[in-house]
Amino acid sequence: MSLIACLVFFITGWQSEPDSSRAFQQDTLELSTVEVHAAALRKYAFGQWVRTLDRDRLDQLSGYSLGEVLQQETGLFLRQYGAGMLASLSMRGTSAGHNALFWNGLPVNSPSLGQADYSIFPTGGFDNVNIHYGSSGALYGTDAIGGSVHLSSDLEFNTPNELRIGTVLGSFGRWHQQVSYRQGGEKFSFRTNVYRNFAANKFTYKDWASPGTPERQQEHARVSQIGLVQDFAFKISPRQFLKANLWVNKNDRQIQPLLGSAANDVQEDRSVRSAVDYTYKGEKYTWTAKTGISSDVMVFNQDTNQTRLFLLGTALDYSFSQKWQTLAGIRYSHIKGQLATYSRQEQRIELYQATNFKPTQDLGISMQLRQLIQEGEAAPFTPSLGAEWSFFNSPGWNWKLTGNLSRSFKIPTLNDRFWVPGGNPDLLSEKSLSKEIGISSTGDLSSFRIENRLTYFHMDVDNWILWLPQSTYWQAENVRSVRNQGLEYYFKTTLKQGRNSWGINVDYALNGAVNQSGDQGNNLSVGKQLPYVPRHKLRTQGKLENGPYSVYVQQQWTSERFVTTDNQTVLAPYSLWDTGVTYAFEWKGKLKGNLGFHAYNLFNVDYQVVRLRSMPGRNFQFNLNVVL
Amino acid sequence: MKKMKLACKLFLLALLVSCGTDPVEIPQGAYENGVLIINEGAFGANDGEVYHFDKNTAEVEANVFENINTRPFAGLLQDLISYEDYTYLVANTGKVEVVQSSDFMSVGAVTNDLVNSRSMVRADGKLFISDWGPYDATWSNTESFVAVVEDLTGGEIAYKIPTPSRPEGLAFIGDRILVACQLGTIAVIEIGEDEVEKTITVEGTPFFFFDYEGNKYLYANDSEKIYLHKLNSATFEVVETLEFSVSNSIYNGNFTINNNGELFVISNQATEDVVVKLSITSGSVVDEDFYSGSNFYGLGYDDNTQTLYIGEHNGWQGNGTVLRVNSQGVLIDEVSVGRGPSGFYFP
Repeated sequence: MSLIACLVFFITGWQSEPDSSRAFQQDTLELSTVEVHAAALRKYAFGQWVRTLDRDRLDQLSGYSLGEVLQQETGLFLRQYGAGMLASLSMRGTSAGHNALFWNGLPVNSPSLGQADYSIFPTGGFDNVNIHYGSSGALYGTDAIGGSVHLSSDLEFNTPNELRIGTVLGSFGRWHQQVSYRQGGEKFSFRTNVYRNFAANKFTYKDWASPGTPERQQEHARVSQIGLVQDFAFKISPRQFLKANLWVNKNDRQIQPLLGSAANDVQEDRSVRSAVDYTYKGEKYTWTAKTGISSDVMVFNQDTNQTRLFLLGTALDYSFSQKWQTLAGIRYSHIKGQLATYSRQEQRIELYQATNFKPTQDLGISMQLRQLIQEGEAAPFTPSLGAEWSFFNSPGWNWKLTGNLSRSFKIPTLNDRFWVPGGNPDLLSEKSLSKEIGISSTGDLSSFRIENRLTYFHMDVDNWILWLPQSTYWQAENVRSVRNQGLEYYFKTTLKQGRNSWGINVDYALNGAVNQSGDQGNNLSVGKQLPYVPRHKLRTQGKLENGPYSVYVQQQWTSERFVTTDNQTVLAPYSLWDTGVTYAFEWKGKLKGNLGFHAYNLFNVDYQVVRLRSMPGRNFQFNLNVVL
Repeated sequence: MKKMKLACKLFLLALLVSCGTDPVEIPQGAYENGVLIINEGAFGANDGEVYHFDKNTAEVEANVFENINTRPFAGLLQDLISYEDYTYLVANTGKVEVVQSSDFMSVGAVTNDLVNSRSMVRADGKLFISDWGPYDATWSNTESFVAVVEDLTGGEIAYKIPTPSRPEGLAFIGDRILVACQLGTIAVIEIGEDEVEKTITVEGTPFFFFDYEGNKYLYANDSEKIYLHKLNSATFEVVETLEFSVSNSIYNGNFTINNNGELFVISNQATEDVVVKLSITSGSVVDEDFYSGSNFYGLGYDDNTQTLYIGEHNGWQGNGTVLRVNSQGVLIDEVSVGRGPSGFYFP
């Protein structure tokens, strides 16, 4: 309660400050390249929040996986099955398959599993991370029930050639190396980036499964990763642009065994992703065409599972006036899966349309519609309506009310429908109805900047698919209904004092995810919180910059998680503290870079994100980035 | 000094007399009464545990192993074998935990070199643990074995005896260990030897041995029938086979038997699970539908109270339930237990 009181204080306390700010900044500000992708995501998303992660922090976390970055930097919770192991995202209390992941606009959730393993997306493969909080199926299609995550690459024209070399050395045998070269001409630019990550993960853990709980060294958790990223951009004419991105990634893992198990599983993941985008910018319209391919091969011990997604799409974004804008598009996907027990191909066509209406400078309304047709069968029609009202503007201050009502859906995965045995071709799409309201403020007072954002959401998810035991095998069925509701709070402030710049960030998420149905008549589960959805996650960060020096301290606290649907087995809350210092250097304008030293899990907390999956204790990391 | 010696002698005499006439009772431990419920735990979660049910108060103690030993069992509990001194918790995730039967205090474990352990038996001061061994590329188990541990409280494996594929239940007769192997054989091992002496082919998929009226039986099944093979106590050959037409009896071979020679078996049918009652005496199915429901997984029969215990897994998403049913097939009550209740032990 005291926390909520603090949040209310932040919001109400600053309301009377005199200042002003413009509404709808995405339309009126000059945007850097970094923000272009985010702005495109935000344009038709009035009423919802698209958050861009801090680029400097991403640089400091080079060599880390997207999973580790989101766990450390946001209020989102990821189920991590060990160090460098499977990491699945849960947004707003939904399951791992209820959020969509995109790389340069290409959907990269596995078509067979319906989710992404966030541990095999290294930060070397993209420049920006944007997080769209909340149900957004009308904008992005299948899976975006709890939200979506968008990875993108930047490539600017007219930039000096740049060679960047990054090295990270860390505890337990962590070694990351990355080399990238960028050349940016007036009409053509490209960048080549190669990286290698290696983590022996020989950390000490307490073996709770053995008598005397001895300390042991982790022996079967080695992770190695290599990858190549190639980006191209052509300015065909002042109005025409072509962009191409390629990402090849290979990940080899020894699967860290569950405590008490003697398994020695190994997994190899190979992926090739490519996206080509054509853009024509007219006076009042922008026409885009996109094609892409995402190919994934996963070899678990001897079993090989391969999926391929081919995408072709086009969209027209037309601006009738300052008040009316509309976007219409069509997307075709061809999916092919060759799994250990079945093969399957299928096609999907999606039509979507979004409209922005801004009756006044302070009010924006978005409406989106999407219809997906899969193999001739219609998925649930997905409308969405959002609004943003800038109700208080003064010099330096802007206060907004936001709201959104939307439907989303998830097409049953290939495995859900066709795995032998137990795949169920008659499955219905999972579907959700989501409502959210929020209030946000930004204050910009010369040396002091503050941002507050509070959202309440309420969502009903139906036809939730579970695999349940039948007489001789397990089968996928639409059995679960869940009501998710909660709060998201975000706070950021910076204060400049002479050479010092102070900053505080707070992320808080309250997630209630309550099972309404029981699962196949299991009354013990009715009314209970879903497993591995912590009710609370709080993350705070304080940092101080002074000239070339920067120091930070951050903490994340995750509340208890239930292991079973009846909430009888509980995993203890944990709190982790990290700190680090970086020093930026420059030598005669020819060489620049930064040095960093970081300490993670400072108090050597013995914790498990998922029960019986050991996590590393205190560990250190040294990084050096040089730019020539 | 003499007085002291006399006093001591008198005291000892008094003690002996008192012992002879009124033996001092060692108090029974908390877990030597009631019902121990084996909860297998869910795959990938290693949350197998033992629950204790007090028949007098109907109270359940959850997570007995973790409560007593302040650490999780951390395994999938395949079997529980109890002797007067020690109880052995066999995990199919590759370990055997050894606890004192009276209070469940951990005294040791076998943790090294087990892969997929299934059951065990104690003989000649040794532990014999059946283990499927690793899976190969075609999901077969071609390196199955019985591990021999020469300390009753666990420790290192002294040696392994290769067996036919997928050994399950074991029995100790005379100086031999019998191993029920799923591919249709009984493997016979002479204690002290490091190889299988002979194998006996039987009908059905063998699972467990049991005793009835002084004879050793082997329980086996296939998709159509249940087989009870009566064994010769010297040659271990099958001397008689009772066949019962029960289709789709549960795949893990779970069953229970009472003192009257009545067997209870779960049959997975199209829309429900049914407990079928068989009689060894008559060699026939006594009741095709003794009790029906869904998600039935484990069975146990308490002869003292004439009560059948049925474990329900509730779809494995959460914890299970135990149904207590009287000898007439009428539900007495339901009890919430751990994940995947697969068996019961009545001390």
